[in-house]
This record gives sequence, C-alpha cells and structure tokens, in this order.
Amino acid sequence: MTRALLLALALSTSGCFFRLSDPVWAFKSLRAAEPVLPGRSLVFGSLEVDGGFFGIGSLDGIWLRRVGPGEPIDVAGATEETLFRVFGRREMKDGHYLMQLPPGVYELVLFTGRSWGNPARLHVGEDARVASRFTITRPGIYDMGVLHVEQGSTFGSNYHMTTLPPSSRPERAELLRDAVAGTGWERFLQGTP
Amino acid sequence: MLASVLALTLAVVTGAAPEARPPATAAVTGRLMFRQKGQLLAPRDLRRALHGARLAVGLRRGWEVLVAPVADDGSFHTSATAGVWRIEWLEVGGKSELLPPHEVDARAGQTTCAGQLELALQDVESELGANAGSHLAVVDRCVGLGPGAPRLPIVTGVARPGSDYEGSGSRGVLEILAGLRGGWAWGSGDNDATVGGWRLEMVSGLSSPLGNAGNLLLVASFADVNREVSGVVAPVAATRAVGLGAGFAPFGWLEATAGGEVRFGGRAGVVPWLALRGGNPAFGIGGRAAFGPDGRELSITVDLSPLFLVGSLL
Repeated sequence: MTRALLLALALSTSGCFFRLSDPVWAFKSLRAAEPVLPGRSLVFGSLEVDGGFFGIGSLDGIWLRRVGPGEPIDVAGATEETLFRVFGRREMKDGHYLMQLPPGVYELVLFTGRSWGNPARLHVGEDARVASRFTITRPGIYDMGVLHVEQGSTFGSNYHMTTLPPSSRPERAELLRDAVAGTGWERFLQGTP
Repeated sequence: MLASVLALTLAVVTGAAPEARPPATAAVTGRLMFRQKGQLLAPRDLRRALHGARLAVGLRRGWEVLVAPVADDGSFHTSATAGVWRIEWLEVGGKSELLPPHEVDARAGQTTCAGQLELALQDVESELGANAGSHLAVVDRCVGLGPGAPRLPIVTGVARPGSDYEGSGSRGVLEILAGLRGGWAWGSGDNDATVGGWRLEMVSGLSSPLGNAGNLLLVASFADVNREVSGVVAPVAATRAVGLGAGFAPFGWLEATAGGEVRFGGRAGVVPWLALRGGNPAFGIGGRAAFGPDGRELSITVDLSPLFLVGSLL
C-alpha cells in the first residue's frame, strides 16, 4: 500500500479518541519491521515537543516527502495511528520512531500530534522543509537524532525545531538495539558499542 | 506551522558489512562528465570548483554496495558480482548527489561499459552535492576506457533508466480493499420523486493508488436505486442496479466518474450516470446524476470505507 494512501488513512484515524486495541498497544515495545525490500534503510529518530500551555502537547507522527531524485513523488513516515495496528509491530512509541526508506533525498513535511486531546497538525514551512533535507544512500541504519520542537511564543502558531545529537540521549542506543533485535536489521549494528 | 529547522543531520550507525559477498566475476566501467553552461567538463577541469573533494560513483544491487572512485579524466572502474546493478548516487567528499537510478548489467567474465554519465548542473561548485536539480544523461561512449579488471574484456552495456522505486509495481491487499466503499444516496428526480438507497462500490486506481492526483479510475457498483413518487400508493418492486464506470482524479481528494448501470427489478433499464466525489480513501461526500427511464435523478452521496472503519478500531 503506498504511503500516500497510508497517510490519508492515518490522518483520518487520528481523530479517534478510543480504540479497541489501546490496552494491547500500550504494552507493545518499539520494534522494527523486517526489511520490506533489500536495499532499504532503517531511520531511527526521536521527537520531543515543548508546546507550552496552549500549544501542541505531544507528537505522534512524522511525515517526510521524497524530493529526489526526480520529481517529489511519495510520502513516508511513522505514526502511532495506523490501521489494524494491533496486528503489526509498533514503529513509534513515546516519541521514538522507526521507518524504512529507499535511497533518496527527503525533507520533513508534517508532524501530527495532540493539543488538549484534539488532533493537531504541524505543517513544515517551505524554508524549514528545505533546511531539513537529508539523503539516504547506501543501505544501513541512520539516526536522525532527537528533534526538539518548541513553540515560538505562548499564543503563537509558529514552532521552531532544533536537532540534538544522538549522544545527548544515551538511552536511545539501547532502545534501538532492542528494537532491531532478531530482525534483518540487527546485522547492521554489529561492531557498534 | 514549523517555521525553522536547525542542523538536521543523520548519523550512520551501520556497523559491519551485511553479509559475505560472493566473489566478483565481472566488472563495470564508465566515465563521469559534467555539463555546465553547455560545456562538457571532466573532473580535472573542475578541480577548483570541487575543492579537492573525492568523487565516487555509488552502485547498489539489493543489499550490496559498490563505490567506484572517479579518476581525473572521469573514468571509473569496479569489480562486481554478476547481475544488474543500479547506479544511484555520486559521492562528493562527505556529501552525496542522488542520481536518477540507472541499471547496468554486469555479465560474468566481462567488463560492462555503462557509458558516459553526463551530469548537467547550472553551477557545479554550488550545486554538486546539494541535490538541487541536476540532470543525468547517459551516452553510449566507451572510447578510451580500459577493462575494469585484468582478463575481463570490455563490452558495451550502456546503463538504462531503472525503476525509480523498487517494488512499487505490486499492490497489496490493503490497497485493493481501500477501494471498497459502502454508502448512501439521497435525492430527488423528475415528477417530485424521491430517489436513493444504499450503495456498494469498488474503485480502483489504474495509473496509481487511490488518493493520488492525475489518476485514472475504474468503478464497479451494486446499489439499491428505489424511486418513490408522492401520491402513488401502489409500491413498486425493489430496484437494484449493477454499474460500471470510469473516471479521473484531477486532485488526490477529488474523483470525477461516469458510466452506466443496468437496473433490474421494479424499473429495469440501462441508465447512464455521472458522479463527483470529494474526500479521501477513508470517506467522502459527493453528488450523482443518473438519467433513468423515469427522468433525471440527482442525489447527494456519502460513503465510508469498511477497511477504515474496522482498521481504525483495531
């Protein structure tokens, strides 16, 4: 199923307050799915948000667009709000996320989350999209680090993002090791501390 | 809106090579040239613009990766296992320029010449490695290129454009089921008739999955198309319709379809129809016009995907 369709379905689902799968979902650990195709890369990252009192309280989805090579064609992402999620592996938990990407140039386009219990979307402005671009080339595991999203002013709708290096949260290394343990991705971690 | 982003960089945590590579029995060779302002330039002509950055062509075959260093004259060589390799990126010092994938068939016992890769940029110094819209053309030119490995004779096998997204041709069960919609129609027809009823549709995107702009659509439907006229006491037998249609989605959220349906039961006949629907693959709202034996029928439709309904609860 293409990611564009998944995105549409996930965004539609994000308004639901209650799901039958909630009790099971809460106990599921972050876990990478097996590589869908040879040559894909696994991207690991974490989201932190400081939305203040009136802003976004939590983020539960991150969406990227592939902008190269060629025309922008597809959307990739990670979210807590997927269809039939109880049957699959949990690829986002507590702000940490995993996603599989083919080689390409990517930029951030959208964050989804909640503000006072209501679904909220944080679109990435054009300048910020360009500034967020990164490339995936050879297959492997890539760490996006910690994306810290902060509200510009108490009542403002503008947010700013800074990136903290992976070393700023040492516990993430263990989280990643557990998430890929027993999967086809594990071999990429061999030799790292 | 997220207004600013500072310093987004990825750290590669890849450790060991993924698996033992079978012995290389083939080789790939070629030449990389740059086209800038109409001029064809070799890397040696661009030393200053490149600031001494090392160039290398990245090739991939499944999990296997080859990096072929580019010489001053633009030539590159690498030993390879036999099979189809994808030329996917160019390493420029610590940066990468993604290339439109091109495939080259490395044959056992031979050196395959992928041709001359001509990368066109407005300004090599500022654009190379920035992924700012370079264009790649591959020319059948192998003159002056030697074999990539001793005793492997050179043969021409010019790289051809590869599929952009490996595996994108297959469609999963979820994607197909996302086109199944259940809905309801309410409306009115000529002679103050009330029309409407339930509707079951299966919509498929022919050129791309549902929810994409510029998509050709195919629609099959089964519906209840009852018609009641005020003042008429005698009930008419229930009318069902089986329909088929085609359409176009100018935007991801809009579908325009038209077709015909065969009605049977109370008011049999063949009826042409037109429909417009706005929404997403999960749910939508729209309008429908049908031209039946009793006149024109206009109705408002709403629909919901059962896949969405069940999937969002689990």
